Amino acid sequence: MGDAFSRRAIIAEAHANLKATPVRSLSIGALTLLLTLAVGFGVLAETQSIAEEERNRIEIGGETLVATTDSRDGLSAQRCDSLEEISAVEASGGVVRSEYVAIDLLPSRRVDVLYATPGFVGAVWPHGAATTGTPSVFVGEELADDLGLRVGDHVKILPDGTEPVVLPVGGVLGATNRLGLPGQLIVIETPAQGFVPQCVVSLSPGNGGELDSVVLALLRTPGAETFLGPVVAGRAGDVLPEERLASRLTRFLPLAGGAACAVLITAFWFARRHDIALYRLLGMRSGGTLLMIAAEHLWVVIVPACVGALAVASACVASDASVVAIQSTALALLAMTGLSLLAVPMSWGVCSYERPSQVIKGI
Amino acid sequence: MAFEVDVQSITVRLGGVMILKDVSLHLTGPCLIGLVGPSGSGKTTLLGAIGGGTPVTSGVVDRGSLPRPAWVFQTSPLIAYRSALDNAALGPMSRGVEREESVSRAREGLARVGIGLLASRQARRLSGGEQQRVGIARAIATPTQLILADEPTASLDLGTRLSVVDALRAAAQTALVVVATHDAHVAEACDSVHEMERLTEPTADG
Repeated sequence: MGDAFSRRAIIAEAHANLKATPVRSLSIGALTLLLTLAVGFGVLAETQSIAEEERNRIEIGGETLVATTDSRDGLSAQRCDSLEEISAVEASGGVVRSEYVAIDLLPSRRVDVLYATPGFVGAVWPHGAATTGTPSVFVGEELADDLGLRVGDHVKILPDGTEPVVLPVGGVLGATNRLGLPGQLIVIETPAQGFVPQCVVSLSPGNGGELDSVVLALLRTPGAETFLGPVVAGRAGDVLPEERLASRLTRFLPLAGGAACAVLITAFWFARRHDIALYRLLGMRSGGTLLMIAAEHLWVVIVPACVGALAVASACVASDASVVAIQSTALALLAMTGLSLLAVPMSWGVCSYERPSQVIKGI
Repeated sequence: MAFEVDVQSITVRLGGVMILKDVSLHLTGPCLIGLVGPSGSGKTTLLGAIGGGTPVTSGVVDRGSLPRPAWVFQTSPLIAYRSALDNAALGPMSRGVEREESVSRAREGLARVGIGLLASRQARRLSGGEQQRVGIARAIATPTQLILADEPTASLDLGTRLSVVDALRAAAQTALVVVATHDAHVAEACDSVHEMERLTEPTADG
């Protein structure tokens, strides 16, 4: 027999305290579970919505064929000219036009935004319209449908490191969502950095060429690298989805977590300060009260938080959520379970601050 | 088996104020010992010195091999939502006794103070006197032969006081119970009474 509460007795006390207050214990557990579900599913829904939007934008532009060559000559469009020298292209019925420079889409980076270089956006023209009209962009039918764009509407293009460029939609291209007419191919020469020479290879009318054969010719060109990359359009005033998500999470998570913690700690202090003082008066040591509070929290806070986290995680898997959504939701759930763990020492701290004689009258 | 507490000429000075001066007592249990005297005479301080919680300025309190005492306060602090039995079991558990045995001891303690039938009732549903008796049962159930009670009947009506006196008598069957009191009923029930006088010098507390 020792001179203080044994560890087993402390755990038994914690369980007895929970059993003696079933309504309170279940209420706190249910609240914790609901809060975790609300935060988890809230973040999941938000990120899924944004990720879906992002995915749509990416998928819409996903058919743009981007061919790169090994040239690194920056601003000049010499490399584009050099494409004219590829006999296979010409033999395939392709005509190389070197009239514009516009798009920066690097294979080594995230390929989710189409950057256009200001001043060269006029490069994005359909075949035969390069020398007329105001700079504009041409969008495919699907893209136009998805974004609700019509001719005359404006889209925003976000050049890397410069001000966004807002351009009118010059035309909606049927049966394709490439930034070009059917039968056109956009070739982007990947730069080390900065501007991107871009060429359009189009089919020469009447020469019997096929677009696929032009693509094949490019693919087979020694030193060339070809990949499919997405094209993303934006509207004036749009904030990037990632920025929007980060902004919301940054505001929402500390607020929800802080509020939950404050409510929990305050409720605990009101409900348990007398009991904890009594245990201490009877000789329960500091570590003993911490263990007892931890054992109680395990069932009414930590387990419900983990159950909620598991439920949200299952929903994540079941809904085939995007990586961004999973990452953000995991972050939110981690924050919630972290807070639930943090609630133990905090609850213990607020109840240990007062001396038993300050809490219990008549002793 | 008899056990003794020997208070040898103790002086207690707290915050520069003399509370006790050259007090000597020889207490032998099991029995019920009363400490009576006016407010400020140092009854609570003497209890604290006997219990070991109040440091003595000079002199010696020899408790022999007696373990840490159990306390009964003016109002017994209880966990309101736990049963009388659970509350009484906290006494032995606080001394390292496992829960099962503690419950058994608590049940016996409640029976001895006459509220065995209320064992399963929540503490908040007990009357003031019943709550006080749970506090005494907790002390009885605690594995110690020394129980210190500080004004255990101060806030109770006459009928309730008598029941608490009975409970203290029950506790004194197996323990040395030292009770500081103003209550004549408690004093009358004691096996011996030690009268204390207020020192001329002002004191900080009773």
